[in-house]
Amino acid sequence: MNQPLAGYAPAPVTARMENHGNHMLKVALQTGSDLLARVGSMVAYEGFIQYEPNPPAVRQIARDWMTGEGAPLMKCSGDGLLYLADYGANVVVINLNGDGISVNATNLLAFDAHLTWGVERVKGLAKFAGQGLWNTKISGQGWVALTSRGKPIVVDCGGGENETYVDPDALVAWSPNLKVKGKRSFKAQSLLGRGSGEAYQMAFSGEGIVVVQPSEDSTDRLRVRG
Amino acid sequence: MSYNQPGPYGGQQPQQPGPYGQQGPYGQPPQPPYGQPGAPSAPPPPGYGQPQAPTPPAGYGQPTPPPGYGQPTPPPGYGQQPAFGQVPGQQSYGVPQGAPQAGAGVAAALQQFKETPTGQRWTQQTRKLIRVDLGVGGQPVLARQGSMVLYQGKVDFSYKGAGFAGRIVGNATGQEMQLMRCTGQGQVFLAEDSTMLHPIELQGDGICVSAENVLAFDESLQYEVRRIEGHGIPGGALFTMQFTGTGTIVVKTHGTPVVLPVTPTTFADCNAVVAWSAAAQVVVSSQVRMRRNAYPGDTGESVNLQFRAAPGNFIVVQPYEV
Repeated sequence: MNQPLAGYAPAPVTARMENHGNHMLKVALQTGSDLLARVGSMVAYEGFIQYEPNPPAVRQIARDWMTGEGAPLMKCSGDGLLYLADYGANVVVINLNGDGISVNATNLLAFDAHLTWGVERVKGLAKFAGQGLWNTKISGQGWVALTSRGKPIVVDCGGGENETYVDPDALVAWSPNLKVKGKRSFKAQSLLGRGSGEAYQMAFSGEGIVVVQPSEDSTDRLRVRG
Repeated sequence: MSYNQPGPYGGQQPQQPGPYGQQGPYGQPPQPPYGQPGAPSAPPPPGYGQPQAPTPPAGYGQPTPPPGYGQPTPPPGYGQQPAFGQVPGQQSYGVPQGAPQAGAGVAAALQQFKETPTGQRWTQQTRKLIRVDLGVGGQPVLARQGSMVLYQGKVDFSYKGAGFAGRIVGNATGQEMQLMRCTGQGQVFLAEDSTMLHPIELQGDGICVSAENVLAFDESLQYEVRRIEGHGIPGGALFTMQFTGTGTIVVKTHGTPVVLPVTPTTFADCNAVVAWSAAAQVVVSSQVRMRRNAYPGDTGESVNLQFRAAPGNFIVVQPYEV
């Protein structure tokens, strides 16, 4: 039919979650293994797939509201192929295989429903911001898909005492066993309109990785003006 | 199997690949198309609306009478692929649920996004992210405020003012940069708005860049605002920032830029041009019309920049008009 378009046909399924291009996620759904995805992220599907809002417990509603880390999720179940995307952001597919990862809710696209997940408070930041930074931690045996504005970079923290400092607006995910601290490079001259634009960083140390996107979106993240 | 001869009505033809080249999608074994003769029940209509076909479609080797005219012929295209949920009990989507072959776990999945270590001062990590190692070369880096996404080591970020005269000039010309100075020892990762980054190394030569397309540069570079004269430009003149000296400047573009060699007939839209080598001479070329410029139906492309230079010079244009 249309030869140039034929090159974008989906490749045969080889895993539960796969990239279709850099910006689209393809999930092979089966009855019994449901998927939790960000609300509104479905762009196409084939087969019999049903969507229902994730029935949140009252406790979780309260928590979402309180923490601002409420990623509205939907539960996708059925048999078929599901295509997800998030406004052209890059999609990173991870098979957790027992590991854990701590993700900003804005960067979470989809994950297996049987994974252990929850909103948790990032330790070590409480004294800097009023309420601390909250994050979604996911662990278990299964698949997770993250989004990143632009191709992400993964930096090894290297262990030891060396600290890696990250702009909170560019942070996507990190290993949950890293130690997190807040760092304020706030100076008095920032008050005079002479700030460097980098008022607040998060410092990571220990064994693990940090995933950073090459863009600084300021959507509901921790933010301190300086 | 003598029954395997192709029937005269195409009932037993081997399955043709669909128009999109999908042949047995989702890892299923190829199945006979619809309109198969002798299926014990009426052939199910193609499409999605048949979650339970009571029996599997007949195989090729089944002794059946030749197809009759009454058989619905499969529609071309989509009707030839097996419908979803066709056979009860069969896994429609052969999903391997195990770990991928490349290895499992967070580290393996993210291996492709690892940083690339080099000993150089400027290292492009991805097309949209650049790393500067302040320890190499030992001089500070000036970067656009807020462009740091990550750093390792002891790095200090301080305000870099343009100075009194610089602010006057910047305000008047629009060629203003909000800069910060990065000093210390360590690696700084710079990115902004997932624009594409292009490090350009200057060795005594110069480059003209629009100030809003500058992401970072070595402090050893000198820069000043230059004026492009010409008629027909709203506001009277165009301004640009010229960088000279020895060092690296990182230019950012929205989208993949085009780098054109300067020929006698190189023109660019002044809103889309990002940078050009300073040796090129810029002329404003305007189409003069005997009518006002802003009438309905105006092409909006009447003021262009023309470049004149010796061979070897270039201009950079981004697919994005500011």
